[in-house]
Amino acid sequence: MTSYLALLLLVALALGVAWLAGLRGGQLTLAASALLLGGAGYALQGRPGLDGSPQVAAESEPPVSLVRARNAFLGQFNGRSHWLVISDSFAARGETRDAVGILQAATRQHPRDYALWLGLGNALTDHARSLTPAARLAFARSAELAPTSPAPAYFLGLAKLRSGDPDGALADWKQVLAEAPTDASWRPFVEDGVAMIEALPGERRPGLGQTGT
Amino acid sequence: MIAEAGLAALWLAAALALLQLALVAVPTLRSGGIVAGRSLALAQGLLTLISFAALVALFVRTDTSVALVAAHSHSAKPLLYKVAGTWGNHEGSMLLWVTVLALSGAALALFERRIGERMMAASLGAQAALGLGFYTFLLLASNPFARLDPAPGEGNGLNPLLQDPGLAFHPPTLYIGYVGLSVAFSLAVGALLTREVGPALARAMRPWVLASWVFLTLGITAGSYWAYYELGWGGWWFWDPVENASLMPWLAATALLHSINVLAKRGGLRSWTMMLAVVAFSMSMVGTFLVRSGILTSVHSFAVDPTRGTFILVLLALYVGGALVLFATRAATIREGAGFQPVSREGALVLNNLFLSVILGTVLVGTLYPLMAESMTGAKLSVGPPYFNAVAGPVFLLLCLLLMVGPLLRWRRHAAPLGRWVAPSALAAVTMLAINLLVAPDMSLLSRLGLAIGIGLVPASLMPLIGRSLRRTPLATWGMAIAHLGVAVSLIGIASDSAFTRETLAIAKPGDRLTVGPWLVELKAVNPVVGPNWTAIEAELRATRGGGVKVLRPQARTFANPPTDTNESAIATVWNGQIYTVLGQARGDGWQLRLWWKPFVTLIWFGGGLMGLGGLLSLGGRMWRGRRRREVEE
Repeated sequence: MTSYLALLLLVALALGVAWLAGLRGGQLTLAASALLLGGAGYALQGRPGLDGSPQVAAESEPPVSLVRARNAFLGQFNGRSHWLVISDSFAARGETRDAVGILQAATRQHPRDYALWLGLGNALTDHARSLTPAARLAFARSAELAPTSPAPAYFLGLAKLRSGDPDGALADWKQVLAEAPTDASWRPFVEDGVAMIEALPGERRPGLGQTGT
Repeated sequence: MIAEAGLAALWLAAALALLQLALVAVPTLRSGGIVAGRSLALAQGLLTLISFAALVALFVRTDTSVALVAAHSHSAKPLLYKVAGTWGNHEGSMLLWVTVLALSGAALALFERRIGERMMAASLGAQAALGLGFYTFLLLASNPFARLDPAPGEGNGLNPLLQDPGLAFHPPTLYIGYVGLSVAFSLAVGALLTREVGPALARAMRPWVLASWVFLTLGITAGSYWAYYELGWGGWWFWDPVENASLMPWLAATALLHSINVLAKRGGLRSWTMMLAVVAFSMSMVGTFLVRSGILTSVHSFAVDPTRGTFILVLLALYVGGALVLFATRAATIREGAGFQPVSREGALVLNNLFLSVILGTVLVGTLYPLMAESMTGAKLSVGPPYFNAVAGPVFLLLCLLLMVGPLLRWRRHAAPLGRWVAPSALAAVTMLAINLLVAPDMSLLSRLGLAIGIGLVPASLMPLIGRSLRRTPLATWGMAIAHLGVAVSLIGIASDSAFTRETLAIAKPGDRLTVGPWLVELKAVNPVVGPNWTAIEAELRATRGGGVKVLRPQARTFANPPTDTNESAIATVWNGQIYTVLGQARGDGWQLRLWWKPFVTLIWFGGGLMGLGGLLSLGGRMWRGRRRREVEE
């Protein structure tokens, strides 16, 4: 109904402009007839009953809580945690670009801190909502700096899961478990992740958009 | 409701275009006079503008119930690219085209008072005929407001190559130029119909053609620079068919502009002017066909739909064919103006038009030939820079030589010696020729001559200002001088880029050093970075040449919506050129790096800007003089 109201308003506007420009009498009537013809054309083609569907950028939750996972691998209180916490707070507000910016500054100040590169990789994945070459570079830097730590491989796998590659994530996590000591404190975390992927239905769904545990 | 209002406005505008045409074409309705034509043109312009504004609003809201928005936008895009995305697709850009057409008609109706009522009514009728065809094309074959039910939850995104500030300005600027030429076309058709081809028509047509030419010049210049920095190939003109499609109307409009001056001043070149007015807009329509018919694959091309191509081809045949038939039937009745000698300003302008027409023909043949060959034989051919540079290049140089002398000639007959006026230019050109023969014996002939003629053209373009009181010199004369200076500057830039560019391609690790031209470039680091809707790997390069350091940060970007990888070049500008850098893929421990040193390349676009400025000054000067003349008459 509102669409036909808009049509009427447009007809009135057009006739008003024509009248203001000096159109009178029979010519104005002709113009009105032409506009009605145009209105008939719209009525044939338009879909006045269809509502609009404006979209707002949606936020996504990772399938595993990044903060819990990070604390499991890196510990909660350490020299670099304030950078990560600040970055987390920006990410939680949807300001993923700023979250990355914090960790970029952090890695410039502490270029040999593997945990910060790890956090940067996660933040880049969060921003792009997929594992991009930039995020891979950050994870690779982390792995170079800490070749014996399982954290880079775990978080790379998590980024793959978030990018819709659960098979890649599964392979990475199984490798991490194969190399992990049996008494590692973070081991249950990875086992839960493997179980979660293996429990996915046959047509595996991408990890983005699923609520974290 | 916004989508439906936009569609309704388009239907109403089309109906008014039909009525406007009927008022001219149907004898029993012709008594309506000029008031009816002007009123309907104004209403039409407003309705089309409302339709376009509705489409912009739909893109800003990312209303995915509209098929176009769902296909070409995304909620996460920055606002600038949501707006610019409106014309980053076939239907939206076609609506922009039609909006400029309708607004041009409205502007003609509102402001043009110098021509008689009969011609005005006929011209508005011609403009309405153009509009009606393209409204029909939009509504029946390219509806920008087609709906989706159910609406998808998110859009597909915009081509990342188009997510650049240049996109926000390049297409609208170009379209104002392309479609603004429709006014010249309509005025020419009106004049032929009413048999009123004369100086009054030229004076009326001139500001419209000038304005279109300025926008085309600036649009092409901006587009060239955008392609240069965005596509990462280091080139500034690729003779891409769609680039050629913008160059052809510009060439025709340049010739038309010069022809109009002869018609306005001396009443001459009437047939030339009418023909060029038809050709200029025809080239705009040819460009529209090439881009939208699906016969080309290009970053510029839109529709891949033969039905749309056929539709536009029919419109092309109707409008161009109709106008040419009208010209053919009325040409014999066009009274010729005052005669002139070959050595005269008119003679030089005829030669100017001939050269421009040859270049236009060269570009047209080179653009269409591969398409025709493929359609007839199935063979895929490519016609590229070797053809265009070899054929159009020398003719362009001849044109520039003519530019050194032409503006100095008198109207009707030039008998006075030109020696002292031409001597500085000739001396500058010969000196440059001698220098580059000594310093760069291996330079190509075209570059060598280009440099020499460009340098010679600099003083030549300013000669019309010598010996005058500069404060009393008409703005139009200043405009002419600056525009011609712009040609000289661009020519120097083109020749320098061709002759002196140096390139280095290497795989480098952080800490490695490379040389390109006189520059030493060190790769300091490679790091991940982020933008509003992309992530990237960025190289930090430090370039030194003697003192001072230039820091460059080329990037390899990844966009998410749609998933696309692009290269963002990093450019550092110094007084005598640009260092241009591109980051490629990782290779083992290192990264591909492509570096260029491009001496004086910025002169290409600076010259284009000067040409546009010259056009603006001319336009402003003529409008101001016209207004003062009317005030005096009143």
